[in-house]
Amino acid sequence: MNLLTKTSRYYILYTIPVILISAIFIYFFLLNEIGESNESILLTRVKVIENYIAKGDDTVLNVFEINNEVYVKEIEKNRIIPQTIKDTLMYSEIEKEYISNKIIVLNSIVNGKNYQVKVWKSTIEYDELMEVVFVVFTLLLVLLFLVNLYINSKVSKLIWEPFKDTLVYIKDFNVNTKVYKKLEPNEITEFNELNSSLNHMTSKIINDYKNQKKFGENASHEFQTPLAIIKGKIDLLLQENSLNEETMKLLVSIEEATSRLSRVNKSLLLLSKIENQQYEKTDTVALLPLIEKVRMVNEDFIGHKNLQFVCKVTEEFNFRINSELCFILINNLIQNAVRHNYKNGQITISTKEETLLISNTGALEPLDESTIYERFEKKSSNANSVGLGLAIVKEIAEANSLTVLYKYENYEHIFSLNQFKR
Amino acid sequence: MKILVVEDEIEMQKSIIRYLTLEKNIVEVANDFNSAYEKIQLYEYDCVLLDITLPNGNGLDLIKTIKNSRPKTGIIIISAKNSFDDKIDGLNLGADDYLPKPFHLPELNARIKALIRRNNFDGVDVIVINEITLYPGERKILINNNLVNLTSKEFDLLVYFIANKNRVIQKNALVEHLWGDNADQFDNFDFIYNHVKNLRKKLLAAHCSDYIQSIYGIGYTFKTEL
Repeated sequence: MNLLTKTSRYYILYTIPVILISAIFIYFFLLNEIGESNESILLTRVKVIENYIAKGDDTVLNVFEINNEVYVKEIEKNRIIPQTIKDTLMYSEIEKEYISNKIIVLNSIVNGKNYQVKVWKSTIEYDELMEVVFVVFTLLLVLLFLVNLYINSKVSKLIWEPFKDTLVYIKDFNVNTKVYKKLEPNEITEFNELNSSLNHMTSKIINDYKNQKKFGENASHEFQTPLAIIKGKIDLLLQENSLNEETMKLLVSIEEATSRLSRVNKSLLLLSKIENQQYEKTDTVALLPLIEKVRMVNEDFIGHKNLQFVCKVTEEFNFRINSELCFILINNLIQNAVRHNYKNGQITISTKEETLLISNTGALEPLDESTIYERFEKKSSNANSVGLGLAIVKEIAEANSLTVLYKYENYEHIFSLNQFKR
Repeated sequence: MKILVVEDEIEMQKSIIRYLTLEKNIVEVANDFNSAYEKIQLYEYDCVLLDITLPNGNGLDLIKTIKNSRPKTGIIIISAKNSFDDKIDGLNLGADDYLPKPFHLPELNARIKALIRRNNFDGVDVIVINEITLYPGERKILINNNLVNLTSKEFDLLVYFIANKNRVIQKNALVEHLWGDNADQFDNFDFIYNHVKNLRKKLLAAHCSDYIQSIYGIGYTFKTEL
């Protein structure tokens, strides 16, 4: 339920009792007013009749009598009838039913003669009045409802427009955004306040994010120098003639751990540099020579597993990408294909339209695509593997508008790279 | 050989000096931009090891100074930044090599030697040690004046060994020398073992002395003196 429906629902809900109370009030008010006005009409008629009797003119009297609205009778001189006004039901010849009438009864002395005068007048019936009030107020309610609907559909939409803009802004918000656009002020105070709070928040988030990224990069840099010192000292210690074999082995273990640390650090540094958009320069990179270069670098590993390496990439096939990153991208994917392969297995690199496919034989079950790109997610127990290879692949792909997809088909693990249409 | 180390990290300086002086090099140090600048003006070096981030200045600015006043001096940038842009800038400005930290001292040593060799013998790039004669430019090796066929990796290993002769070289330094950053993912020690084994076999077959000694679990030494 949206805010508009909710508010109108409450609006209608609270309107109903208000209308009901007003209807009851109006009913009794009208009843009273009509009664009073009828009484004064009857009194006036009595006066008119007295006047005509005094004049001896009975034409008006006849008209009243024809209408069956008056009854005049001479009575004894000393009989006094107190003036009473009451409601009564009388049979109407025209309507053929009993209808509600107001009647005044009194005695009146005109020219020394005493008359009993009864004057009556049909009056509005209670149920009729009720009906009128009911119809009017029902109509009012319906009208209110319709107006409400109209406000909802037209006016409110106009009023909520800036809010919707704000929503779109929030949905599209990305901390990595290169050009940061602030929300525009508008004429509604509440939304303005919302926007300025959001502006404050987003600029803080972006700043924090930038600082954090910068921190990651700086920290990685700062690690390199102490690591270099440790490495250097180990190299020096190994040259000492006084060392026994045990000590040397300990030193080599320390060195191996240091190297691993340095590799993790280099990978993290690479990741944060890509995230910090420090590889903005792109070229058109032909894939065929690059794949050949990567194959040469890894020929020992490919040869060791006796893998069949098939490259069916055409000379024209290229990506628009940073050339340094492209090498790392292809190298990581090919090393991945080697590492998770079995002896005498196969690596095939082919193209399909605009897509580069790197497929390899390996484990006979698909990998979990939701976790393979996660950092430090290791499939192999190899201590030399850092677990950042595919995370780097993903990051490079994203930075160069490439989609990287994984699928398992015909017992082969296939990674595909496709550049969005430029 | 005279080498200047421009590096602000004292422990790093000490390690480099110590390793390089094992080979009777004359090594001097400069802690910051200004003292480096001064030393370059005053003395002629065969090689300058240059850190880029220096107190009171950028190492890249020193490259031009060196190239203007001492064109024969070789320059190797040693930087913790491992930035591709810095590398390109440095090499464009006239630096001869770029070695990102952390590195192995034998690697640095091998690079210095290769650089000085190229600069000093007027293009005749040759290494002679007893019966072995290497032409790194042509990737050619003669043993007792007979041509020996080595694979590219075996050749690289031999050059590296000779540059660091009589030193203990650990396996990992060899791995990083042969594969650099791309070595990360594999258990490369087996490959090193195989390459060294094959190299040794080929050298022995050519009646070369058995210089390569393996130190089990640690690495190798190319022993030319007892």
